[in-house]
Amino acid sequence: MNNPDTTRLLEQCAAGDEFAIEQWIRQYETGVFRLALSVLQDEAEASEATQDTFVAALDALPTYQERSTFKAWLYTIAMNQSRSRLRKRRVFEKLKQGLQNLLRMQSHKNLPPEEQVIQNQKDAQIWNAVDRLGEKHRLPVILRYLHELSPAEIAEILHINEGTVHSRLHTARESLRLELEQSLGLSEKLP
Amino acid sequence: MTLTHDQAHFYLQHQLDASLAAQSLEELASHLAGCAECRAYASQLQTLHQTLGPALEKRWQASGVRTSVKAVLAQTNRFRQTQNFTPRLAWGAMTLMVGLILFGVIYSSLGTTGGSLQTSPMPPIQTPLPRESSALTIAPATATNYCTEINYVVQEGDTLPGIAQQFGISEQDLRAYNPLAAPTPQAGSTLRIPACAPTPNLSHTPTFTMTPALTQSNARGY
Repeated sequence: MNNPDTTRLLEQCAAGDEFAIEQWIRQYETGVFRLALSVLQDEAEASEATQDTFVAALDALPTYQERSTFKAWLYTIAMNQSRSRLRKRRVFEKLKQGLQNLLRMQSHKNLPPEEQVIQNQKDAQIWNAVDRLGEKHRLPVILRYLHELSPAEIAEILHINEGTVHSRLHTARESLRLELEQSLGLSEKLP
Repeated sequence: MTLTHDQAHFYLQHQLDASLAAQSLEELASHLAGCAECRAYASQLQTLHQTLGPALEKRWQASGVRTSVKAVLAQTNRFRQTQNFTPRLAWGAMTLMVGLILFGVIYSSLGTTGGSLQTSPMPPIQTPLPRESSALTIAPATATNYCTEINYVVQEGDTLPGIAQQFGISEQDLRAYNPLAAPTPQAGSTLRIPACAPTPNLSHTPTFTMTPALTQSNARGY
């Protein structure tokens, strides 16, 4: 499943070789961080989730069997870490929202991507469209297009079966296509 | 067999994530050839497919991410033990030292009280100070200290400072006990060595001759 280099590196990591562990972290941290960021939309939290992912992965490394690719295995952990953070945050947000409603305060919703510095209007439209997909369809899209994972790997990471991954990707692309049809100028319009 | 539009759309979608069977590909190709609507759909889908990756790539820049290896190792259960080995050792040593000090304090206080309580069968032996050297300051034999003396047979090459050091007493004290001894006493002559102990432990006659091998370890504690 993995190439021999990866296998050797993982063996060294499992044995506690600090150099190997550093090399391993450097190799995967960007991917893990971006995955966490795409779920959490917050850099500080994503970087904490990244660290937690490596901690958990290092602890669980002896249990990793090459039934799946290492990337998919690691991303599963990253996804679980990010989602559990997201759940905690949602509970907190709900509480905050409740308090704000109670105090009739103006709620400051998290800044939409429009308010970030947008260099490319088109990109921003795609981002917004992807954001509006909802987690169920957004995550497969992110894993597929940002992390370039196969449907089989996505299935493993999201704990769903491969057929479901396909159908969610279909649905997601369909709604993205409809939403971006005008703005993107996705070729000629449908008759 | 001809495909419906929906089937064609499904095949087009599926093609982006997985390979289609040869037969399905053929069916799709023949449908697209005769269906402009589905060709447009296919082209839109293809554009979306190619745009999504690069667009999302720009969305979550991860330029500054740098996970601390130390932090990861410190939190990892499996390696925590080796990580914390040094601090743990330091704590152990410190605990041991504190323990020893406490033990020493308790022991000495016990010795002091115990000494006055269980007045030993033998009274404290006050070292008979040589009269002519009464001005000398001898290791003050306090009331609770039990002092005795031992005889030491001078060996070849021994000097007073050397002997004093060997028994852990000052040269002055040694001189006080042996006012007539020369700085380099004669081999074979006997010197009196004061030996004081905080606890009375005089179950046997305190006068004996020590060989140098014994003296180092015994003289102090006696």
